[in-house]
Amino acid sequence: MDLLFDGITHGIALILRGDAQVMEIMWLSLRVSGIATLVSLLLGVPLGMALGQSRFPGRRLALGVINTGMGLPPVAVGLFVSLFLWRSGPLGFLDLIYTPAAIIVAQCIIALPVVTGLTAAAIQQLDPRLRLQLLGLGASRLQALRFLLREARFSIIAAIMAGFGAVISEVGASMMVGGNILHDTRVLTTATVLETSKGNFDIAIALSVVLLGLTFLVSMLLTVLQQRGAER
Amino acid sequence: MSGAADGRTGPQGLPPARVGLPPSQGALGRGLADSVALSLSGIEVKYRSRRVLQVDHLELSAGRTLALLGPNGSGKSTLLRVLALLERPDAGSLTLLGEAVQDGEGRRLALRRRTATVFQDPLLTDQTVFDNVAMGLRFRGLGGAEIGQRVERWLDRFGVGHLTGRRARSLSGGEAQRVSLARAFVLEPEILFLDEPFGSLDLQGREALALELEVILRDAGIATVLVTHDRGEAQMLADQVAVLLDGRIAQCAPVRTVFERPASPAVARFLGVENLLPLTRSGPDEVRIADCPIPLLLPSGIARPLACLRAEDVHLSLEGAPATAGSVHLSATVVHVVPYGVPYRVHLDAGVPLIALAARRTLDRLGVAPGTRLVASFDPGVLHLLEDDAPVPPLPLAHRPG
Repeated sequence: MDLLFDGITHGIALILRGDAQVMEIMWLSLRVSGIATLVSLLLGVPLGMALGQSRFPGRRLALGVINTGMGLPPVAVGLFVSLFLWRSGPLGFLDLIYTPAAIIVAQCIIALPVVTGLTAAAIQQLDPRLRLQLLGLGASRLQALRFLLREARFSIIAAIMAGFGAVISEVGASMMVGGNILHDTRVLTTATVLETSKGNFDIAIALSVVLLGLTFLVSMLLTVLQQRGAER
Repeated sequence: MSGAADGRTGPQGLPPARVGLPPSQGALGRGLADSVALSLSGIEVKYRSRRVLQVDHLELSAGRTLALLGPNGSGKSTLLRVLALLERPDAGSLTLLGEAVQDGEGRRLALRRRTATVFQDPLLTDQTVFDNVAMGLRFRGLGGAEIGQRVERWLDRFGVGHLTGRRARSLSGGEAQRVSLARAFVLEPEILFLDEPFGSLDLQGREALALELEVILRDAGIATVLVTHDRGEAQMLADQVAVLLDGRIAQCAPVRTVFERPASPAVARFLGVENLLPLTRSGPDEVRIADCPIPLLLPSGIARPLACLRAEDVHLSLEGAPATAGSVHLSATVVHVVPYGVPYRVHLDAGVPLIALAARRTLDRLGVAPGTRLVASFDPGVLHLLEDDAPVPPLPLAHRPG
């Protein structure tokens, strides 16, 4: 019990002091997962819209694969990304293994199906005739797409939250492709695992409180964005 | 019945009230009425290799309203989507506003922007009423004060000016449909496509809005294609009616012609002609309904004649009452009496089944009850003769308008 209590007080103290190591790790996490979420957004939203709107043979299979991907185990992603990025692997010449970029790649693979699947579901929830109505009022295809996206914005922001939540909290892939190198690829989750195994519970607690707080802040920000204009 | 439609065939009766259009477009009765807004030939649409639409020819004059009238699944909405450039047909050619429609999306968009489409459900986006109505103008790159004025004007015209700041989601069904119509009219289109525009409203709302729309359409003089399954709406709003049955145009003619002289028994049945009476030839110059001779010259081309007789043209009287000269008198037994709207429907057995309409008071005076013997009479001049199509399954619907 003392252990827990001491850990929490020390952890809080570390955060309040703005401990350099904790801050460094936090910024790296935010940067890596933020970029990964952004990239998966740029790829996943158009892909999800296409899947949600169009009709082509194999569409169900594609949706099934995407939906399976929403539960992709980060460890498996980590394994395959490492195999590709290892110096002897097919993409080894890129020299990406054990860099933040490698973590971003792995996290993109984790977030992409989440964003794509939820976007497709959001678009499918819209009235299919809405697109015809927009075109019938003189919208170009692009203008119609923008309006559909706007109509589905609540669900799409929810997709962003889910994608960010998945990557900020995963540990397996970051550990395997990043290597948990201090000042370089150590993120909040990998650091928490390491400090816990070393018995540095105060630092571990501080890190996980930061992780929780970060997740909360980002989700809150997106929620505010989502709910803006929902009332009235 | 079609006084409104008739009124629109001439330039009279068009108050110069706010037309809301540049003079070149609101120019009904200035010679534009003769130009063609839209024409098509040989249009075919297939879904999974099943042909759902085949229209050889159709034309709409500028400033006129054409109703596509047909039962559910007859292909009328598909035809509207093809005309509105929202769906590509599998075959055929289309000319809109003097321009042959090409495949390129750019040209299609440019043409589409000279039209506007309204669907059965309002399909408003989650914005304010103002933004919804301004949407199409913004698609066209317009902005600023001009948008504001036009939006307000058309919202007022449809009686929803007070809703301009409201969220579209908070509107009632009737309000939303008015906003949806204003959203199309604000574009001042040269062709307007209306797909069951009152379909989502209750009967009262439907009638009120249809009456208003009739006035607005007449004032604006926009060429309009109206899809409806409601015969009354077609009668009230249209100049021309194209009856669609099973993906084909079974008849296309001025509204009165369609309702008074349906081109085939199928059209007559769809239009609600209550009595299609088989005529039998009893001599070289004599035909009969049941056993009653009819003073009628049968055109030679008709092998198995059917006579269309509207229930409202059947007059009921007691047996032994003085006969009206020139009328046909059939002895009939009342089978049952159905209250249906204000006049009652009286189902009779006159050797053939016969339906008549009668006011409640008439029925009381005649003491009508099932089994009552009556005389059903009608003027043979009102009969419209058709070739029976019953036992020969799908005849090619070749009865094209003359």
